[in-house]
Amino acid sequence: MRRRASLAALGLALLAACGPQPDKSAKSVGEEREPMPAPLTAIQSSSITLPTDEQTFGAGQDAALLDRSCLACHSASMILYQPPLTRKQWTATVDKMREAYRAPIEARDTEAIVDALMAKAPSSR
Amino acid sequence: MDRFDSLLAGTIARRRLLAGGALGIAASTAALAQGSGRFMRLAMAGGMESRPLASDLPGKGEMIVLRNRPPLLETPMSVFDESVFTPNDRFFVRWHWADIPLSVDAEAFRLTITGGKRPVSLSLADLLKLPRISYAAVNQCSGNSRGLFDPRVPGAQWGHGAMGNARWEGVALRALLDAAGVGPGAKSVGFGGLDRPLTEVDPFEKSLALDHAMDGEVMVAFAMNGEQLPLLNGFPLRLIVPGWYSTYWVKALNHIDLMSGPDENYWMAKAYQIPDAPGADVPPGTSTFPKTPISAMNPRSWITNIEEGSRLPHRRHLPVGGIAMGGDRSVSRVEVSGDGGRTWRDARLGPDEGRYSFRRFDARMPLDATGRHVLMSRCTSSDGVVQPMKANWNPGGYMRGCVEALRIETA
Repeated sequence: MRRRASLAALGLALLAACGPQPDKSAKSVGEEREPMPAPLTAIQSSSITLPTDEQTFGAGQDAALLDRSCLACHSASMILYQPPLTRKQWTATVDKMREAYRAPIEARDTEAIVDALMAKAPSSR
Repeated sequence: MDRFDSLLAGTIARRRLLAGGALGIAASTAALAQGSGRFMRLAMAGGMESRPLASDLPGKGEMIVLRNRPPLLETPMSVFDESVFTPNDRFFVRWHWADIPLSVDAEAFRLTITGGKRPVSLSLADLLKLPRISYAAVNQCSGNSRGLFDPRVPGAQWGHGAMGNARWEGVALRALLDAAGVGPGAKSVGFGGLDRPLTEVDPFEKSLALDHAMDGEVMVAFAMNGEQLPLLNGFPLRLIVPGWYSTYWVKALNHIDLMSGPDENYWMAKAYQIPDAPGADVPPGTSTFPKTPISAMNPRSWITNIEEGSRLPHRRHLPVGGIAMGGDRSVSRVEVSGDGGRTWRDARLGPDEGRYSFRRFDARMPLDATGRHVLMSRCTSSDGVVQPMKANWNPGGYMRGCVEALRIETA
């Protein structure tokens, strides 16, 4: 019932379809616009499977710390593709992960994590 | 190959081993496809960097993979040379939280609207019966081209391909809000989707001022280039905020809320903040400045028919073409330069697909001598805003809009 009522209200409220029109004042060349696609008539359920991501930081203590601290929420590539960042920038990033995104890491581990990031990702002195 | 390429190559080799070994055929399809071993070189501040290409993301053709989980997929620039419309299977992908919708039941899905005079709950079938609007609009990540920021800043290191242009079809948000009944106390409208954080933090939600939400153009879209949206691009519904950055284009939209107070959600109050300064530009290294949420896009243009660093046979008139966007206005002019911006000539504009669309441009660039050339394009929007030569800088890497340089050599 409620849905029918809201649909009826919707019908009353709707105005004529409107959208931005091509800018007539702009220059135009002889080429044609792309054909307009047909209106969508049905929506089918959708389901996907993403490929797995097995990438880790490799062997050693630094790698193990980063695997443990970072990979729960995102792929390793997010870190490996960062540009050279300063210790200050990496520290700010780790703090943001812990404070704003509640990453499961302890404040006392920040320095060790930053050391590991500086060792594993591109670093600038 | 630098050490990160080596690391990636190692991963890929391991996948191949796994695929060929104990895991057998079932595991091999995805693993081998991702391990295509193809890389793309992208121009970034500090030099060229390589990124893996993959074609095994569901519903996607070949994409540049910045991150698998949650997905960050970039569109190769060559795609933009083929049409001003970006095919759905090449359209960039950006999610914030790891728990993204991978399966949506079209029958069971509901879009709810709260905070109005009456609650509204709509099925997809309901939405398909309503009067529609349709237009072309560019969807661009706030941090598109972040990898070009100099000095570099942390974040997703996009080249220029965190953008796309599609024809969106759906229902005007205004009509849906009218149906819910906008009370006198309503100030803004919040939007949330099916994606969820893994930790106890604010979900990814955005909001628009009521006037903006009621402008008749902001759309709840169910179709993209004539087809239902790919799951990775926000199936079944996506908010379309033409002229504004993609952060507002909430994917897998399932909830709309009329709000009477300020939006304190992290993603409005803390994230996606830009300097409250012209061009979102502050001196490099600055971090304390008045901030404001990012909003409308600026004019941009890219040469797409030639790749950075190309070596080409010399021609006295080099064909140069690409795409331009006016931001939240239409494109009124595109100029090109073959001498690093010393002299400019007008390019011919392609068909006008609407104010918010990409627009094609083409020109024949006179090149007097063989050797190195710096090619550029410069867009002017219909309100007279011209792309500046100087790049902006801010610590978030947002709103790059300067004239881009493309270095080539002819012989």
